Amino acid sequence: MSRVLVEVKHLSKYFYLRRGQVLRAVHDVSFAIREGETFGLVGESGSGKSTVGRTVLRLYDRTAGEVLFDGRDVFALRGRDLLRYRREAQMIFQDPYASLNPRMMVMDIVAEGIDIHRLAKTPAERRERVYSLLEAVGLTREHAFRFPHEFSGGQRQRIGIARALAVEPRFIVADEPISALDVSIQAQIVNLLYRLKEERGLTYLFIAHDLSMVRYLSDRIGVMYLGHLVEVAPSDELYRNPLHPYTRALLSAIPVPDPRVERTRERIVLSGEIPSPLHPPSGCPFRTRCPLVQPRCAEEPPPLREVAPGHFVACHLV
Amino acid sequence: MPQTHETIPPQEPTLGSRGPLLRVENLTVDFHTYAGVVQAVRGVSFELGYGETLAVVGESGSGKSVTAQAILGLLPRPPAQIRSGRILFGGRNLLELGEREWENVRGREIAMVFQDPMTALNPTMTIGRQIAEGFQKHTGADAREAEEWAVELLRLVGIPQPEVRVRQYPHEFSGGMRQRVVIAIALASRPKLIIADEPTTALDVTIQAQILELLMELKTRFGTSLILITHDLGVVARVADRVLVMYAGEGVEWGTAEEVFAETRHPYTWGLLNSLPRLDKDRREPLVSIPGSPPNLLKPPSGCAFHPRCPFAMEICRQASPPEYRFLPTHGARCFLHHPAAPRIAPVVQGGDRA
Repeated sequence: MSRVLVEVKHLSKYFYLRRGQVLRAVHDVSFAIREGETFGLVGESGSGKSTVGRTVLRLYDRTAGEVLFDGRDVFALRGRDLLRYRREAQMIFQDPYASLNPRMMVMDIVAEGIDIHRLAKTPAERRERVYSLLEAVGLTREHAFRFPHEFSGGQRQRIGIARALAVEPRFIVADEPISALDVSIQAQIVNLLYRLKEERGLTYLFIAHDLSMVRYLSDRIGVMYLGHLVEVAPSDELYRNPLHPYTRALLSAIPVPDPRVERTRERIVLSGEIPSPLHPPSGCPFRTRCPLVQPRCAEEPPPLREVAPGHFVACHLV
Repeated sequence: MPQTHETIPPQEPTLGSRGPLLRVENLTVDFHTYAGVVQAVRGVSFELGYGETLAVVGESGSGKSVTAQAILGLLPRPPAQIRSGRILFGGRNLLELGEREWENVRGREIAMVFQDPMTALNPTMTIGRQIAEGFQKHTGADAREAEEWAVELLRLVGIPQPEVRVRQYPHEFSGGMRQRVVIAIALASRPKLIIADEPTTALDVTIQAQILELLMELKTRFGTSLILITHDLGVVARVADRVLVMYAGEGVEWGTAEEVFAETRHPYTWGLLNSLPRLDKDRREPLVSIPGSPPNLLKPPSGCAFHPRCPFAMEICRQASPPEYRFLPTHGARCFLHHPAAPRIAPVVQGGDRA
């Protein structure tokens, strides 16, 4: 087994709002990603999955806990070491319309990181690098001299991927990279991400709400609910044998594109909605919607514990 | 177009004795823009029976929302221009109505559920007023009756404490609750037809499941027909009786949900089904994506609009627009592969039996 590249230990991220309100976006989350692995993080809006991704990249400061990259605390990095982390860890954004500067040519968008990190010695080398990156993501070198508005959503997402790859990263956080795209284009981008990972030995943190796509790309998956990591398991195991009541409900809520399956399928429809992270419930975060709730769920938060090899769950009833 | 609607044999009586509630014939809509004429809808035909659910499936730019807006008389003209076609609703051609007559149809007989509940509601009005507004206008009910009906509707759509909530404003509701309010507004005048344009796309998956259950339950209770516009084939499989698959402004395949998913006949529908990973299957297989991207409808491709992306495209597909081929009275597709002279192609996807 390969070694751990990214280790998140008891990470919490609170946002302090006006009038003394505290938004607990992420609370005591721990997981590790091995080199070459894809770790999927799923959850609904407000679950804290994007905050985890951004905090791991140090786009946010942490409130508590640690993020180790290659064994070094990311939040302790300064100067040249920090610059190096900024190169080795990259991000692919959700919205391909908002994440590309409309005034910059594709050439300069993709080369921005190359310039900052001085990865090209001559203008010719810079240009050749951009060409080969565009070709690697399924575009052509002619595209380098166009502006973002000339591209479709799927093509823009390819540009965003080329930009992330330009600085030869080892680790990429992809935050909902396909949810703004049409169905026929989603599969193109997922296949591209998979191929690039295999070719370049990348490590991914893949954040999404679409469990079927996450399963397709991920080796292991973590399920988040209201800032807490409630279940972690290898992807096939998670789908075959979900243990947390929230994971079960989430899986059963996803419609399968087959009417014969859909008509006979048993479904857990959760009542109510995800509580506000400003006023999280005591004890287990899921207890207000859990069909199996017990009195003790309100009293103490269930710890994340290993119930089968590699399968972790935070529930008193499992 | 080689075969227009007039040459299609009359529908078999599959819709029950009352005939269809809605019949759209050869609808063609253009938009006049600075860049040129966008051919948004290019000859779409379909029908919908009483109490049925039709899912219109397609990607952005396929013309599905424009079709819905035409049925509701919501297209701004100009820039939109309805070039040809008829929309028969209970026997009347809606395209011939004047604005006065429209007001008795829109909201009263045909209502709409919009995609984004955050923008579909007026932030300055209580939700009770928003539910009652159309109902009062259409029935002449007084304010008290209207508020009682609003409370009853909120209860029906599953909003707790409706007597309190009816006096509140949209910002006091969550996204899922707002979509319930939007549904209550649509139901207020007991319409015969509800058109829901991506009603669950903006919602989280557990809330989406709640809203779909609610729509199905209310549809049965009120006997309403439903047109569901969506890009999500999972949602289609869950709720649809009939399916119309749209691509580049045309209906490319239609049929009952079972027919379209299990006996898929159009390469675009195959492509859509293949590009989805399936949760209910164990093995992970490579996703088969559709190459390229949807066409620019300022200049639709010649012949079959899907030919530039179709793995089976033949010479004829570049030259002529494919006619309708019918496999069952309810099931048809526009694709030359079904011409007797075309090579036999084993279906790439077998609906439910895809490994």
